[in-house]
Amino acid sequence: MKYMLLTSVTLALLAGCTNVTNTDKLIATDEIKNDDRGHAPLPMSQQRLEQLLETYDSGKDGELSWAEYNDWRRDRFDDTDNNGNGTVDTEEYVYEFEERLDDRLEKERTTQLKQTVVRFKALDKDESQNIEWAEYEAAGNRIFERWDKNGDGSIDDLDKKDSESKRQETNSSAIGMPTTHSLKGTMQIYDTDEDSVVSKEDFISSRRSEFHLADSNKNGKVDQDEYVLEFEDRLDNRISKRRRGSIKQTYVRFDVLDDNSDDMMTFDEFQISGKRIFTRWDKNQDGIISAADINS
Amino acid sequence: MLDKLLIAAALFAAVTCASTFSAFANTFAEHDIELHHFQHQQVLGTSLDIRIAAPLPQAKLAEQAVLASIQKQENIFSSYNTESELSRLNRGDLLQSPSAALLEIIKLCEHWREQLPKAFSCRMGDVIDAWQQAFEQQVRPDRRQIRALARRAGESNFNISDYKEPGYTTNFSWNFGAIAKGYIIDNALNVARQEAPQATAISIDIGGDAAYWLAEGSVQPWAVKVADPDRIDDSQHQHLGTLRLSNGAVAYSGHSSRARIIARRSYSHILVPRDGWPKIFSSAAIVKAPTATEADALATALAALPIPVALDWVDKKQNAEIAVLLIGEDGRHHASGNWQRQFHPLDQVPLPLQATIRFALPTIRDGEYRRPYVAMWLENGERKVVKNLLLLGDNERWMTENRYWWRKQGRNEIELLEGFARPTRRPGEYELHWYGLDDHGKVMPRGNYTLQIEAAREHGDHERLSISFELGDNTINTIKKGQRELNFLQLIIKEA
Repeated sequence: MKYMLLTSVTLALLAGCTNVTNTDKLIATDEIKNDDRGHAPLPMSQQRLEQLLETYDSGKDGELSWAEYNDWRRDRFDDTDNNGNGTVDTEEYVYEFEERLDDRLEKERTTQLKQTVVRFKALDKDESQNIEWAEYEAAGNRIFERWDKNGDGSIDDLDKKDSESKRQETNSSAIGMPTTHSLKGTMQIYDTDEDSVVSKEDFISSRRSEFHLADSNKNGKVDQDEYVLEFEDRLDNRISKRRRGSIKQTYVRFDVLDDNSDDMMTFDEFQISGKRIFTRWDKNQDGIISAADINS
Repeated sequence: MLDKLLIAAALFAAVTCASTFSAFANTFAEHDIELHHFQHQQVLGTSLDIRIAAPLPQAKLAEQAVLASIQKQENIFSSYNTESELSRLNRGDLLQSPSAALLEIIKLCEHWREQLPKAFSCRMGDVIDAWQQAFEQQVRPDRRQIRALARRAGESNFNISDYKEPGYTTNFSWNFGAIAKGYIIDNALNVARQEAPQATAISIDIGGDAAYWLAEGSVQPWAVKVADPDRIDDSQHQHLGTLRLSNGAVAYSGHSSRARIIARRSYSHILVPRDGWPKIFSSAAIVKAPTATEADALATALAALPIPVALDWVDKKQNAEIAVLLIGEDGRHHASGNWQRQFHPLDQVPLPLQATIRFALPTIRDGEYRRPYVAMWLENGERKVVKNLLLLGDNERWMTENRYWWRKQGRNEIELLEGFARPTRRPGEYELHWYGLDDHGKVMPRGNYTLQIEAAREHGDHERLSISFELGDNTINTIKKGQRELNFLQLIIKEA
């Protein structure tokens, strides 16, 4: 029920209309525009358009027609159909997804590890090639002050207001490593007892144990190797967990796509979702995804 | 080396101390035949123990025949020996068609691959080589590269009759590590029986995997000491308990001492055939089966499956000859029904009990109905969870709705959710059995316990029922009625 309400509100906002009592219309739009998980549609933005064109616009003419998109999906389908029997079975489908997922995870992993080195340098204010506790503590204080918006000595629901920037919500990462760059991430890292409150004491004690854990040779300071390896361990744990979830979800998705549940997906079955995705972004419904779909 | 053991009750202790595995049979004493024990080191990279109750000359002939048989087959199946028939076959420089033994083991491999396609494959030669290389170079293995090798092998249309064509080669390499040891043990037992026709009992044990045989009419079965898989390679001889069998075999797989450490990460050597990657939350398996070949193949395969899938596969066979105990990385024991009935935990006298637990999930008319997430467990007098009995549903998000269980177990024991949980079930009545052991396979002492069940449903309600009881000599039959997400919970304990 909550989700229905949310959907109607979003749709009403998008359509700029105030009449949400027209349930017939609501359901029809809902079917077309909601994604496979039933999430409300996102508006088309310049960034998203660029992403779509980058992937699908083979003619590089700044427009994506249904025919182009259909051809791209056909190629993808044929690649996935490894044994070339004209249908895609569960394993072919999952293998194909896994290949792309692993490419993405690997790329993100490399980037994140590079960033870790940068982070180390930023923390090592005195350029001693080591992070001393004082440096780590100071960085911690900055993080705490940043998210304890109302300055009451703990990070909690009361600090939620305005703290999440829009940018972070649209940033999609295959790894989704929690960071202290958002309140949500900070809570994920430091709210270890899951009571939605991180007191200053809890925070400091978590930071202390982080520091101690990273300092694997226990000499009281953390060098670059120690810092990077500690992060790498957490990163790989996270990747492993995310990966499991994604693969599990891919099997579920196949079952949804495989309309008649015969463990074989035909191109037509595959294109039911293709049509839905295309329609979702073709906001003005003219059969072409282009700049005209922004704000329409 | 020859140990001559006169069979008497006192000697049981001596045998127990002398080896990881030991067995005795009073039958030998009745017939006044001596049990001879031959031990050899460096056989298939481990130790060989032959026990044979037969006149000494025959026993010695059997010993020689066993050694010869093992040597001969090692020369065929070894993946370490570059001149073995297997290595030459994989390289494509086998001049004639494969030997009968090679063809037979390939046939067995493909049979088990058909039986358990998600868990068993001998087509993993290239994958194993890639892992070995990653290990030697200490380079983090590339998941995509290894998956490509596994997939090519899995999708190959190889048929054994292809080998009729001389010079035929597959587009993958064979590795018989999943089955060869068992096959070699079975053959060793056969040649021993041929060389010692008057034998009344024989066991062949290679590094813990073993086959046992008793002549017909023998009364007392073998008492096989089951080793803790994590201790099987060291001298600690930690025993979990005893398995009694007349004829049959036992095999192990997946103990953590054999994991590969590559660039600081530990990778289980249990590889999933689908993508050649180690199983996550791997378990060690101990399998009892009619032959060593079967036990070996099953130990490999069942360790590669998710724990509930492996247990269900064994239980569905309804074959008293096949039983399995899986031990998770967290040390929790998960046993098939047959195992629980045949296994005797060490130095502990289990209460002769069998508990039946029944519960029912109600039919709920609701357009948004989703099957409930269910957790069932036992707590001791200090309210500590001592036995996890059942988890239905493996999604962390919804399992957290079982708030009580989540606080007590789930949030600290992610392995339970990943490795032990089964799919959710539709409304209806369910029944499961419990044999008085805790999560780590130990006998639960007499005392006060509480049986707990908790159910929560997406878009729905939440409910917990519990039954407190005293574990002892008394019989119990208690039922608790539920209101919302559970119809009832019933505990029945009677003497087995």
